[in-house]
Amino acid sequence: MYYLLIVLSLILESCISNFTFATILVPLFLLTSFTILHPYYKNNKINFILSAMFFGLIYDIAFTDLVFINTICFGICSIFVVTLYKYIKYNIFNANLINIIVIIIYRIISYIFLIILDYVNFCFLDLLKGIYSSILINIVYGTILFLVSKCLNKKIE
Amino acid sequence: MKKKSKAKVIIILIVVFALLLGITSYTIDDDKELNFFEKAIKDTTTFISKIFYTPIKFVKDEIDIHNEKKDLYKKYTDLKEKVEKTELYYAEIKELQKEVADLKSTLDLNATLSEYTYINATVVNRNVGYWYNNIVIDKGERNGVKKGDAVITPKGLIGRVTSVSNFSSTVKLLTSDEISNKISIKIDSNDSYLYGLLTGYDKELNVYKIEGITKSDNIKEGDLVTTTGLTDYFPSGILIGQVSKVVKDEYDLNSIVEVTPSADFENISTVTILNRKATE
Repeated sequence: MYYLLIVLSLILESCISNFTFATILVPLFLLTSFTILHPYYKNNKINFILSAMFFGLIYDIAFTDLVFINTICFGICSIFVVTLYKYIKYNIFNANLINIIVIIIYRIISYIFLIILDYVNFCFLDLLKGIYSSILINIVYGTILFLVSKCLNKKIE
Repeated sequence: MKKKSKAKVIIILIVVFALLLGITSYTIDDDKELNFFEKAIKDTTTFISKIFYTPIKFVKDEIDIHNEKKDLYKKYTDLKEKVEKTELYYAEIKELQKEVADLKSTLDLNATLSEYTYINATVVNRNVGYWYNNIVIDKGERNGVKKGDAVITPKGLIGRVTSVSNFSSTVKLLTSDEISNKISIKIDSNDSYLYGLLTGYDKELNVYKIEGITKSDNIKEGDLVTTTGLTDYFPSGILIGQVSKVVKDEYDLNSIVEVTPSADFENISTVTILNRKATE
């Protein structure tokens, strides 16, 4: 069931990107879905990291044409998610806080990789814009996903 | 013991990530063709995205139509005026086409740079991931799209096809940072052409940078910038934008022409692919 939510997040991210506002409010729904749905992996860390990397690979092939950039970034971000949830309790506020931290980490890592590969020219303002434009819409999506997953979990139980 | 195994895992992870990054640097190569699995994944995700996006697009289009209906009378009078002029242009084009055909037969030319077919496509997603500046369209190899084809909107050139799958393609936009994006252009200034090179895009000012122009004195604001057709990718005469400013470079030696793009990169929903006919 939770894999379906992840796949839906991937498709929704693709659809939302077509709207004009997506240049100011950049969706990162796939990454957000991994941050929010992590507790439902029932402490299976390896499974969580591998599925994050797998979806990162699909993301690369389908959207970016740069195979393995997002595979690595999603892998690193999933390690951060696992580590952060060790110390922070899972609730709506903390889940969104972790979501923000992970988005910042993801943006910085992917930007560094793209600079190493000479794909983009370094511009600090561009990086900053990439970070702050991604936060608001993903917090909203994260909150919705949190509530939906909680409802689903109750029904399943 | 536990600490040792943790360190091992970290080292393995670093090695794996470094290897993957190495492979990525290979995939950046423009000439790389998509393999079977890549094509399958790309086509499937594009197909599913299209199914989900179709109802959303319908609602979006309806809203756009509703907004378009405002100032309908003013638009009608403007268009009426343009239609009246079209008759004149049509006659002129007919005459020119005849002249071109005569000249071609005289020179025994079978194909020119201006000969290409049009393939219309819908944008399935755009710039997912923020940095990549590409769009994915719903037409691919099976529809006749080829790698390197120019992609335009009714307003002008927007980019070129960089990878082709069976039923979808990726288009790299002109707003991309990639250095390989250099395009040979000409500026129509006082009925003479000045040739230069489009070298980049300034995100802050929303302008293209054009370099390599020797005589910039004649260039004035509003001059049209089009492609020259001298490169493999873009046919001649596709509108890129209008000159907005001419500035000097940091050493005060060369001129840099700033060009406002004619295409609206914020709102691309349908595109046309210029599929060049093979030269016989």
